Amino acid sequence: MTTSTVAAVRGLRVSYDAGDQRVTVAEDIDFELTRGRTLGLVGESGSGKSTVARTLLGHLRDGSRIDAGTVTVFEDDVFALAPAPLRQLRGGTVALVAQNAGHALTPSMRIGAQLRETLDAHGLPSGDDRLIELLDLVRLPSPDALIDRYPHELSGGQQQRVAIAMAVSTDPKILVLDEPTTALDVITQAAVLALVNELRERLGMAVLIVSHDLGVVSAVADDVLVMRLGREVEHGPTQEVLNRPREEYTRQLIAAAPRVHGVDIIGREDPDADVVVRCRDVDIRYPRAPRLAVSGFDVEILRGETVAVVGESGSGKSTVASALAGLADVERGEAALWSSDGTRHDLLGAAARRPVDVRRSVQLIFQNADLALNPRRTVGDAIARPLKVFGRASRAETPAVVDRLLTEVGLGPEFARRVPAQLSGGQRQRVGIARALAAEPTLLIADEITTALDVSVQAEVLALLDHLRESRGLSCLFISHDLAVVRSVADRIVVMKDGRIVESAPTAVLFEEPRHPYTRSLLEAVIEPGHTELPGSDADHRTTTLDPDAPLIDIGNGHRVRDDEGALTTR
Amino acid sequence: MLRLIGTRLATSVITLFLAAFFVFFAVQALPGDVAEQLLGQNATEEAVATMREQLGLDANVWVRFAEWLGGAVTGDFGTSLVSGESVSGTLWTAFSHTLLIAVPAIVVGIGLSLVLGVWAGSRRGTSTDSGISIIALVAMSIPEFVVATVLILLLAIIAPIFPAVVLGGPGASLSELLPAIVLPAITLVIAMAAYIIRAMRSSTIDGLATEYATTAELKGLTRRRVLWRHVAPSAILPVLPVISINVAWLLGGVVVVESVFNYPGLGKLMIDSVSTRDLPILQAIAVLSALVYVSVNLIADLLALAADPRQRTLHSSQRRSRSSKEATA
Amino acid sequence: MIRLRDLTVGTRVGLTLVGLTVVIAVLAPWLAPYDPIATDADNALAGSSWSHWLGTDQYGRDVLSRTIEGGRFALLVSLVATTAAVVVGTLIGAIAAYYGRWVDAATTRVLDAVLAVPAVLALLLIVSVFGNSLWVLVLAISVVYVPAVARVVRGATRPVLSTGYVTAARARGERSLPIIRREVLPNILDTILVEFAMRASWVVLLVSTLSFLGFGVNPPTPDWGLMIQENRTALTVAPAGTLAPIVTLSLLVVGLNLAADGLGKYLGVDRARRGVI
Repeated sequence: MTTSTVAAVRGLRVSYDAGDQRVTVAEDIDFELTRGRTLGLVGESGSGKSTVARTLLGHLRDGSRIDAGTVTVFEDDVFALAPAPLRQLRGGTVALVAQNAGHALTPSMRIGAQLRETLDAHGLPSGDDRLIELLDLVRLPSPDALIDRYPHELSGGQQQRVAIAMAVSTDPKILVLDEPTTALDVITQAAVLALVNELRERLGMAVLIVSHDLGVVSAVADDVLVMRLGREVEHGPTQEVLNRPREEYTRQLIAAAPRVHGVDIIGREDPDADVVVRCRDVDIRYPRAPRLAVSGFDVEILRGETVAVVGESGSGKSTVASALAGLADVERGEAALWSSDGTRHDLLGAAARRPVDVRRSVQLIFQNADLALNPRRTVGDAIARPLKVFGRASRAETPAVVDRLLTEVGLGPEFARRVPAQLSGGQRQRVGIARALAAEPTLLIADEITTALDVSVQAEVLALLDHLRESRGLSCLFISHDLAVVRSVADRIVVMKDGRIVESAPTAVLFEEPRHPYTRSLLEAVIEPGHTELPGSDADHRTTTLDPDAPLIDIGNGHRVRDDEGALTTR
Repeated sequence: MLRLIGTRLATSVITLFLAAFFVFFAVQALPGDVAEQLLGQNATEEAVATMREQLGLDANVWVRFAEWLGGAVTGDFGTSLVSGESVSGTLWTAFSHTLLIAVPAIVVGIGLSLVLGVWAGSRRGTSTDSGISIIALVAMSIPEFVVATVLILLLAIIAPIFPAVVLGGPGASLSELLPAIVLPAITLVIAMAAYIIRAMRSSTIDGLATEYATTAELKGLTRRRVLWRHVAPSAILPVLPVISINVAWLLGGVVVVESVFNYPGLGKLMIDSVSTRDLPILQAIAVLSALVYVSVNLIADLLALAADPRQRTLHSSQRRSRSSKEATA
Repeated sequence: MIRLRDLTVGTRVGLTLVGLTVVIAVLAPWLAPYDPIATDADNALAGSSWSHWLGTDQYGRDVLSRTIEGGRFALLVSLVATTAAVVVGTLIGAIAAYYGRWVDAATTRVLDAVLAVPAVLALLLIVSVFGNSLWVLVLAISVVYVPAVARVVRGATRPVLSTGYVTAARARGERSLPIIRREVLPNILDTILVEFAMRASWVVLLVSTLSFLGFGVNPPTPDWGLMIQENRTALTVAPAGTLAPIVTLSLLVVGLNLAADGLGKYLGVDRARRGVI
């Protein structure tokens, strides 16, 4: 241990009870934390990265235990500490920022009380001026008013800033960040990460950041430790690991990460393809809501084309999907679907009142694969249902068709007899796709279908979707919050904010010549593996406000921009 | 906030009106009307008809409902068919007697159960927890009349500390009633505590498993502080409806307990009136019980509103999201 | 769907207690050593002896025989009434939740209003007017419990309705009843099962309470609640006459509660949090 080493994990093995046997969560983990440096723990779900990180605070989940190895913080073996020194260590020497501040802050206590309590527990001054100083430190606006707020009255980014303020309030030597930005949108993520970097330098902390996102780690970590199934895969300086990975698994992870730069954009514009869906000036309102959820939505989807709708949560992107599927009422505007023989069908009104053919032609795939399938029915049952409802196969043909569909989505016929609980997240999503394909749709609506998946699985599902689009000539409306994911699948991209279209353009045009300030800030905030610089740290202070009356202006090449301030004047 | 309370209040009034409606028409649907009851089975048809006219029973049923409801709102429920006295007078005497045993039972029962529930939940899996849980399970499995019988055996017969039954009837004086309220109150505490303990235990366990409880613990706080300051205030929210149901049940009809102890409260009045088919009194009891049920639920709602800052601002989420955006800008 | 060996000890004890009580009740006519209603004035209030293991009551009837037969009526009423209440309540709750909006709002108000009227009052009145036959009791008890069941089922149905598989079925344009039957009911079956077990325990208590108050079975039919009422005045003289039905009744309800708790835990339905409603 050198003088600047503040913590060391040696030969750590953690396991937990699962019925009669013990399951190992982490094995043979070694690393050190050094003052002023950041270590990134990277891995997919189930890699044990969070478990390892939390041992630095002497915390294990119920039923878990340390089988071997030690966790040392400043000469102290953390798991040998008596209760009182352990409490001094927690929050005093080592502080934690959890994944979702919305869940990590106590809902029934005011922000000020939670901050003050931390300071009191460690015998530090806790006057109002100190609280305001801390909130200032994390650059929260009007800190004196925030003290009296409850956590739910803050936005996600603000909550995470409060959590960080709380963690650094005791001047800890080590800061553990457990997926600190996973629940945030890209723009806020960039700002929070910049804040973490700045605080590390100002306060001279050692930082351990846990993330599934190579981009995040790449931007803030000096060293990186890649974990898989509880074991170390690779450990070294970040640039070295990312640029010259020694292990195959690391290479796969890097390859699967969605990127904004350096990926080929599918340029298969076919202007002669016929229009499958056209929406004009669509307004959508939830029952009795005072404001429109979506207003003035326009889109045109050609046969065999994928159009992506991108936006933050609350931008109305999923509402558009619901409306086209007949699950939300369209208040005004027109939406139409053309079947292959050229007949025009209205895409307005509830699903139950649409003709069978229209219902069949529009199929949904869902965000949360866990809830997408009925847990009480077999996979075969789930896929057979649309076959029966839409009369696509007779009772005798059904099993064969189900087998064929399962094979087409990359699963085998043997999956037909399984229930959803026996499948992984990626497999469930494939079943969801097979169920949609069973109806032989014209338009597939995919609503955030890869959000809950690990990057490698996400890449596979996206590849499958692209393959199906090509082989079946499907049109696809792809809803996502992630520009990097969309880049590799979409022909055209529609960017939404606050229920309105901000910009819409062919993928290449949008990435190369974004015109609207909001699109630009979205693109700048994307962090991808290899990026060592963080985008401007004031990103979330440059909130774009939309002018409700601004029109969408066509500037040629199918590129349309909303005429807000700064959209058309500057480049 | 005010609008929220207004909405809840309006809902309560509608529920109460519906309940009164059901009570009135359910009684109308019973075979035989008040006139036949009063005159007995041997009465001639003419006598019954005259009686009906006197009582206004031949008027339109909706008119009678309106009249009855109008009376009920002003606290006038007519006269008892049996004693001929004013229903509301009898009712209030009985209700005040019931309050005498119910209020101490509610105060002691709720306090004790909440503490025991939090205690058991925070020591999940220990012998303290198993002990409390088993006692609660047994307590909810034994009917009140058994608890009452056993209590009488132990504390009135074997060790004659408290009177076994009240002999005075409805006219009993306060000094006569006071020693007699102990055993019924204990019975009620036992009957209601089990449910609250179990709900609070379960809610505390959930609360301790939340991310904010873990975060608080990893801030270096003591377990006691995490439990009482961070977990308990939110954990009580899902228990409030359980408490309100129990309280409403206690005030509305402690029929069994009062009948075992011959205690002259609302429950005893109910059972006596059922035997004598004293419909005006039964209607009044039903409406009073519904009023208690609705008010207790309303109070629980308001308490939840006070305990949970999220509920308070739920209706103004639109305004909030806008103002927080302005704050960021 | 449920594997016995996965159940906890408590659950197994509970199921055994309930099973045993049911078997004894069914076989009672063959098991009881005496005719439970045969009186013997010379042998009243006898203590325990070889001929009368648990002694006799004030009319000289054999307490053991009366205890063995005393669960039949309560169990029968409970089984039929609980089934009826759970089936009807489930339908109302699921339909209210599925249709939402005004259907849901109206149903909720009506159910709440029915819940506001004390159950005992309704029961006593119905029984006193229409008599205490089996079917009257079953009907009265079901009426009393339907709103409570409906409320629980409505609460359990709502999260299911927002899942992808229900949304997919709606987008396919399927009709409401097939969706409720195929997609919703199988996923709230666990809640319904636990609901059944715990309603059963309350209905058993309620039926005994009615008998105790003199509104249940007619004497001299043997019934636990009625036995406690009849024999408790002689509690100090012949305690077995009161204690035997207390023990059997409590064991049955403890068994039902253990089973409901265990099933709830096994199926992931937290029942304690529901309290009485």
